[in-house]
Amino acid sequence: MPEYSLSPNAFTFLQGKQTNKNEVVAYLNEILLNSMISTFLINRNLFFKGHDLLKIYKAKKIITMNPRNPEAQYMSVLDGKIVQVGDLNTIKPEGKYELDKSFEKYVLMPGLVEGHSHLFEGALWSKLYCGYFNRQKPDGTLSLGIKNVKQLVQKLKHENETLLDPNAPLAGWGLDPIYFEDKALDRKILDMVSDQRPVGILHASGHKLNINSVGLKQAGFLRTGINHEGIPLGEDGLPSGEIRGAETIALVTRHVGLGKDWLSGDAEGLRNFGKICARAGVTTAADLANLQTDESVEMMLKVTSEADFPARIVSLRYMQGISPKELIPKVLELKKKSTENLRLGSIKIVADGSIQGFTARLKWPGYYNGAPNGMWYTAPEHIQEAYELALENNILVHTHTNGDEATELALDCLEGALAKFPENDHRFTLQHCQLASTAQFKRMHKLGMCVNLFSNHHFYWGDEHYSLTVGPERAHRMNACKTALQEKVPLAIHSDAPVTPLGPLFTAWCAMNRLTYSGRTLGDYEKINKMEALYAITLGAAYTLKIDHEVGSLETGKKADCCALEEDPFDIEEIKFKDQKIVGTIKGGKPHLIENSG
Amino acid sequence: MGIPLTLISGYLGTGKTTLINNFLRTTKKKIALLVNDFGDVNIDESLVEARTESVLSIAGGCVCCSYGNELIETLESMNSNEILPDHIVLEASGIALPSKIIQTISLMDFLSFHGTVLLTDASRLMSQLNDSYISDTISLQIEQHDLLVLNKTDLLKEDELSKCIDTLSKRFEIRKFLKTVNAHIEEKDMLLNFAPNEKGRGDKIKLEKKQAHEFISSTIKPTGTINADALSTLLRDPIYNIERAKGFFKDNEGEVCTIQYDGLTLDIKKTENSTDPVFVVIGKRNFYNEKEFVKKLNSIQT
Repeated sequence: MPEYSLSPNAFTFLQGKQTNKNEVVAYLNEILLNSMISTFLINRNLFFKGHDLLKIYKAKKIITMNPRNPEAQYMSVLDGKIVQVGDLNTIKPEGKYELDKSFEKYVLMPGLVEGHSHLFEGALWSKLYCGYFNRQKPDGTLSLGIKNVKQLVQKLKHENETLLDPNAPLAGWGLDPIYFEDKALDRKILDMVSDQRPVGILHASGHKLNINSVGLKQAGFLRTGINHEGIPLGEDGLPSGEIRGAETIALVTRHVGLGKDWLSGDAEGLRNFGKICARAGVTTAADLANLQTDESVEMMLKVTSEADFPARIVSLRYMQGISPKELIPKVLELKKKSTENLRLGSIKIVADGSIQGFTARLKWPGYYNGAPNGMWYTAPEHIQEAYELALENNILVHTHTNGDEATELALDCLEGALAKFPENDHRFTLQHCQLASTAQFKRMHKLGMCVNLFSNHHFYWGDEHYSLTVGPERAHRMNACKTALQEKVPLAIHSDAPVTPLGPLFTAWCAMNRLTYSGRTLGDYEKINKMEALYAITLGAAYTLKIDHEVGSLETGKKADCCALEEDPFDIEEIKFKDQKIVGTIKGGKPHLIENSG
Repeated sequence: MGIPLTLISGYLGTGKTTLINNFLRTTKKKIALLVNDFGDVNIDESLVEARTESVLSIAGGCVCCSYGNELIETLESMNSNEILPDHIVLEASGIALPSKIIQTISLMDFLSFHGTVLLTDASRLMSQLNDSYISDTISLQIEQHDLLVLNKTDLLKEDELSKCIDTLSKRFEIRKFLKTVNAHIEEKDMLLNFAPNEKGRGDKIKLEKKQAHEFISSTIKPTGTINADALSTLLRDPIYNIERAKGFFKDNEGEVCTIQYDGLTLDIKKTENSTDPVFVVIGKRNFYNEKEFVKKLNSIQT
C-alpha cells in the first residue's frame, strides 16, 4: 500500500489554507485506506474515462521535431491532444483503443505553421486567376498559367461567357505581364473581352491593375485632362487602362468587383483558405493584418469551429484608423474571445511600404535606381506608444518593416519602450525585415525580438532587387536567415500569401537554396540547412506567435496537429524540397486527407 | 466650379484638430468635415452636435495617402447628398503627404480644391527637421503648403522663434505664412481660395535650398493721424510678419511721434522734430504681408 507524500509545491499551496503538512499527509492516507482504492485501479483506463476513445495513429515514420524523441511510428491521441509518441508496445493502453492506419504509408511531421499570411488568399479564388505560374485551386484542380496576352484574352473571354448577368463585372488577379513577350496590355485589349461589362485584372504584385473602357467609364476616368501619376494616358489622351499604385487602384476596385466587400472576405473565402492550408500541410496559419470588425470576428469564430475546418488561425488586429490608446482595450476584449481554433488578442503594425514598390524606408544609400526614400505607414510616435501600451498590457506585437530604416526605427522604439516597461518574454516580432544588417540582428537578440523573414521574395523578386531596387550587395544579404540564427534571433520564414502562394515547404526550399526565378543564387552565405528550415516552419513560427507550447512539435500534451508527406523530407535533396507531395493533415487528431492531390 | 475643399495637413501634434475645433466654433458656413480621428485631440463632438445644420458628416478613419478608396467614397457620398455643403474641410493624417491627397481630389470634378493649410509645431519643428526618421516627411509636407502656419509660437522665446522662422525661410519657399498660438486663424485665411501650388504637386520633389532671402520694405507716408496704440498693435500683429519699422507719424492729437521697432521692442515717442510723416516697414520676402498691412493701416488712419 503506497503512502502519499506531498511535493513541496503542494505543501506551499496548502499552507495558504493554514494546514499542517503532517496533518494533510495523514488525512490523505486515511482516505486511501478507508475507500479501499488500490493502486491497481488507478490506471490509464480510469484516466481516460469520460473522454474520447484513445486513437493511435500508425505512420511509416513520425518526425517529432522533439530532439529527445526524434522519430517513432506511433502516436496516441486523446481529445485532440497527443498522449505519447513512441513504439506501439510502450504507448498502447490496457483498455480499448482505435488504431488508425490511414497514414501508415506516409511520413507524419508536426503540422506546418505559416507565420505570415492573409485569409484573403481564400477569397481570391472567387475571381479568375490570371497568373503566369500554374496554381492549385482550393479544390485541388490546377489553374493553368497564362504565358501571353493571347492566352489572357482567351481565358477572359471564356469566363465572360460563363457570367450570366451581362453587366456584372469580370474580375481577375495574379497577372504578371512582365513575363509576357507579345504586345503591351492596354484597355483596348480588355475591350476585346467585353464592351458591356467592366473588366479589371489585378497584378500579382498588387501594385498595378488593368481595366477596360467600361470599367474606366464607370469610375469616371474615361475622359481627357486627367493628370495623375497613377493613371498614365495613352496616345489618345485617355487613360491607357493601367492603374498604378495601391491608393490609385483603390479608386477603381469597386467598379470591377474587387471592392471592399471582396477584400474583407466572407465565410466561403475562409473555408477556401482552410482548404488551401490543408493542401500546403499547414495546420496553423497567422492572419497577419485583420481589422477584426464585430461581424468578421463572429464569422471567423463560426467557420473555424466547424468540425471539418482543417486549420487553426492566429489573427492579428491591424493597427489602422485607430489610436494606440483606443486599440489596446479593444484587443484585450478580443483576446477573451480566443478559442482553440481562432487565436485573437495580438497586434500588427505596418511601419513602411514595400521594396519593389519603392515605398519601404531604406537607410543610406537608399534605392539602387535612385528612387526617393519610401514612406511611413504608421507614425514613429504611434509605434512607440503602441509598444509601450502593449508591453504594459502583455499584448504581442508584430511589426512589418521591409526596409532597414524601418527596422532601425522599430528597434529604437522597442528599446525605449522596454526601458519603461521591462518584459522578459514579449517576443515582439519583425515581419519581412528583409534588409536587416548583422548589427540589427544583434540588437534584436539583445532586445528579445523574433524575426519572420520573407524567404519567398528571392524567388519572385530577387532579380529585380539585384538589378533595380537595392543592387547586388544588399540583394545577397536580403532575408538573412543564417545571420539571424547565428545572432540567436528566433527565426520564422513566410509566404505572405496571397503575395506569394501559401506553402511552407516551398518557403523552406527558398531559404535553403536562395534561387531566383531566373536561376541566380542570391546570398550563398545566408542559406540555412534542412533542419533549420524545418524548425523555422514549425516551432520557429509557433514561437513568434507564442503558441510553441501547443503546436510545432509532436510530443505529450501538445495538439495532435500533423502534416502528412509521401516521403521522408530528410531523404529528399534540398533542391527538390519544394516538390514533396503532401497527402494531408491531421488537426486536433482529425485527419484531413487531400483529394485531387495530383 | 464644384464644392470648395480645403485640406488641413501637418505632422502629429501640430494642432490640426484644434484648428478645426476653433473654426467650427465660429463659422457660419455649412461645412462638411472629414477628420482623421486618431490624434491626441478629438474633434469636439458638442461643437458638431450644436451645429448639425452646418456640419454635414464626420467620417472616421484614416485620411491619408494609402486609403484613397474610403476617401473617394465618402466624398462621392457627399456629392450625392441632397444638401450640398458650402465647403469641405479635410483633415489629413499626420504622416500623409498633401500631394497624394490632392491628386486623388483632382480626379473628382465635383470638387474645387482651395488649398492646403499646413501646420507646424514651432516648439518641435527644429528638432523634427533634424530627426532622421521624419525630417523628409515633414519637409515634403511643408513643401506642399499653400498656407504655412507656425503654431504654438508661445512656447518659444523670441530669439528661438526668429531662428525658427529664419530656418524655414532658408529651406523652403514660403507662399503665405502665419504665426499662431493655439492654432487660431481666421476663417478667411483658412478657406481662402489659393492659386494652386504647382511646386510640390509632383510626388517627392527634391528640396531646393533657397539661397539667401531678401528683405522687402514699404515706405509709408500717412496723410492723416494715427492712434499710437492701434499702430503699435498693428506692427506687432504676427500675421503681418514685420521685422522692423522706423520713422515718424502724427498721432491723434496731431503731434509728431517717432517710431522704432526691431521685431522685439517697440518704442513710440513724441518728438519736437517737425518732419513730414513717413516711416519704413521691413519684412522678409514671402513672409511680410505688405498688402494686408497697408490696407489695415489705411483703415486706422483718420
